[in-house]
Amino acid sequence: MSGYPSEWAIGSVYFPPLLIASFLGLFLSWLTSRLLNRYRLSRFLVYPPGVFIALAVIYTTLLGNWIIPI
Amino acid sequence: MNKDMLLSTRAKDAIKVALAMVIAYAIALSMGWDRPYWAGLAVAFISLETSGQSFNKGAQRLGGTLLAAVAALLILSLYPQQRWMFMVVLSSYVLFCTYMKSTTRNSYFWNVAAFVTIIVAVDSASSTEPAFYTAMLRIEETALGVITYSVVSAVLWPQTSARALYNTASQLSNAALNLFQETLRDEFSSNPKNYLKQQGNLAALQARLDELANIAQVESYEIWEVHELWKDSAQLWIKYERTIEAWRQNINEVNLLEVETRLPWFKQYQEEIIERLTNIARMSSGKRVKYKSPFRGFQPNEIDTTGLSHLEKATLSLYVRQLINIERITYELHEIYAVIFGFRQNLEPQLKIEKPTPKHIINTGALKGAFRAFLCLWIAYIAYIFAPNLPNSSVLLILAGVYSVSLSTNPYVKPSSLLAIGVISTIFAACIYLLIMPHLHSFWALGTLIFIAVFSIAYLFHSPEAGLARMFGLANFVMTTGISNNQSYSFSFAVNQLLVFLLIMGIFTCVSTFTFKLRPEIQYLSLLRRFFTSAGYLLADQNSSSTPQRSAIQRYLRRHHINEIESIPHIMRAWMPGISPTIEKHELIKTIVVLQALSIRLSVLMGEFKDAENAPFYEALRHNISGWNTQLMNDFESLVQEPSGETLRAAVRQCQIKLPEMEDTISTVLDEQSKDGIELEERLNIYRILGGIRSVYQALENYEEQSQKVDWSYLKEARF
Repeated sequence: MSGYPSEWAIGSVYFPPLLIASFLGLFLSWLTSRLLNRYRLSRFLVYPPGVFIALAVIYTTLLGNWIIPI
Repeated sequence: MNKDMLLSTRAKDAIKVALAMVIAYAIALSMGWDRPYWAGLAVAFISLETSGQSFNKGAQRLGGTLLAAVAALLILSLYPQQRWMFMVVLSSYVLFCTYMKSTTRNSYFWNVAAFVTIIVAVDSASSTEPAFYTAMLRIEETALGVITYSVVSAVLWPQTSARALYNTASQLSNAALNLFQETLRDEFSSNPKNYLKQQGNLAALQARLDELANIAQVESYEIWEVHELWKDSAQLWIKYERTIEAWRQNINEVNLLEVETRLPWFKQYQEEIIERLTNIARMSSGKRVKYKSPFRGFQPNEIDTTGLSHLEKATLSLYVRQLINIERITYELHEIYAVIFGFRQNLEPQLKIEKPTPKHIINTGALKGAFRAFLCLWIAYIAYIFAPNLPNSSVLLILAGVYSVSLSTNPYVKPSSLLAIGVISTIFAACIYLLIMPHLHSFWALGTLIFIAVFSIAYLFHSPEAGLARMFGLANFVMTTGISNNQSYSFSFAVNQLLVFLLIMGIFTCVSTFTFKLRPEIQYLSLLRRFFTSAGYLLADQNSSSTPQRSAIQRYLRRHHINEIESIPHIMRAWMPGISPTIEKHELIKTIVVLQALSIRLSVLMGEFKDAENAPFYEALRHNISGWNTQLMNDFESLVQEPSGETLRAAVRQCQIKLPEMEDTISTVLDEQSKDGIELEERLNIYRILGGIRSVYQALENYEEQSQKVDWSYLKEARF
């Protein structure tokens, strides 16, 4: 990791790092929501769909800051 | 050996689709037409079980394309340089077509009319080709696909709708006979699961008969001659199922009254109905039947009521009313089938089948679906305008319209399930496009590849349950391979296809989640509330209608709420598969069954109120009936606030106190009025109203009992 944003090349296609980070952010958010449902923790949330979006943004930002520079 | 036995129906159907697809591509490519995949798409989407069904769907696709071409050209010519007005008109037109799709018989026509307009209008706006050329090309290619598949399905192992219609009629009459016998044996009490399965089977066969009766008439002159009778029979089967259910709900209460001794004609009645239904089944399966006119000499008013209380008389008269209805329906069905299968020349002149009256109500479910498509289209359009760097943004706009219009009638489907099907089918098609197609050098090789790929998809996803997978598989194969005379190969094209699909699913999920709350648990509770609101409204309306003339708005609202209580239990059942597996579904299904009973009892009660209007005996009791209605209304209101039924316990206890009161009132009024001589029918009508109110109370009691078994707090919990 150089710390500078760089495109991801898959075959001849170059993907922007934000796209990759947001897909991973969505996936992690989905995983967290499954776990919260599984352990009945989602009942403490007022509006779960809003929390899902917030989690996706937080994960994307964290990934973009430390793992996939965006 | 019979050569037909070598191949299964599944394989034959798959061969037909694959062959028609190869022929359609061959013609389009040899004619040098652009975008031959449009012909391939037409083949993929119109292929159905019988030639008639496919031809009917093909005709709807072609008709819808013609309307769409005109609409697209009109919108483009009206607003060529005003992008917002263009979108306002286009999205409003799509909203209208999507609503019509859910509310009219020719749903596929409206579906195509909506999405092809988006295709032609957006494609023309974003490409250098003239709009007229695009519209004509779409019509040509669609016609090619429709004609090709119709010819192939008519020549190769033709499967006529007439044969399918006769088979369905035979299965339906056998199912009806079984249901009648099982209801007599009170199978519901001993084996409710099996009984409900039989009931579901009867409903599915009814729907199929209705569809096939419409299609077979254009395919066979024999059916065309009697097509009105086929449609009448389809209507009568619907009434039959509903009446059997209403009858079943009374059986438990009546069994305590020793019905066989109270109704001296009952044994003969049972034998007669069984004989009629057996004859109908035999006639529809083409067996020889010695026709004789059904016996109708029952004396339904011959009831031994000695020693019965007024409430028991009420229950019995309601029960007899259902028996009379079943007798009338089976008689009409028997006579109709006798004419259809040539055992009689024509129907008795006095036998008139009541045609279903159009409901003329706004379908809220359809309206929500249409608005969902409208919103998806607008979000994709805003992305198209303000994010020009999105991959294939015009394709994104087109496909957002196509998917949201096509899925508007199916709110139950989860976007996550679509995601898996869509991604897998796109990757499958991309592998063919990138790894196999570049090595092909002639149409023979390409044709073989198309045949194998289409055959595999059609064969693997043959069952009706796999319809969505088949649709996605074929559509993504055709779209991703993009076969044309100037074929090019690009990895980015395949990846962009996938990205566009993911973006569309994102838009679709956001619209469904944030605006319409399509989570099954929320829908279940909201439908329960809607049901009780409508039930309360109907009783309030009954109380307030001391003047028989209702305004147009009141009449409309009444129709709307009657439709709500009749349709909501069915809608709730459709949401059940999506409910979280951690919730006890069995108890929720049982609650729906109780609600269905309440729905039928309320409908019966409303019918009896309607019959009683203006009768002097009813006028004398109006005040008391109004009081009982108010009590019921309050119960329903509390259920709207809290559908868990906790508030009902006191109401049920109250009802047990009220019922003897009701009986006393009826008795007093009967004594007073008997001096003037009340007609028997009027007296029976009042008994039936009393029985109706009692049965509604009974259903509420059942609801209260059932609701205790449901974990409401768990159902109401917030979930992702």
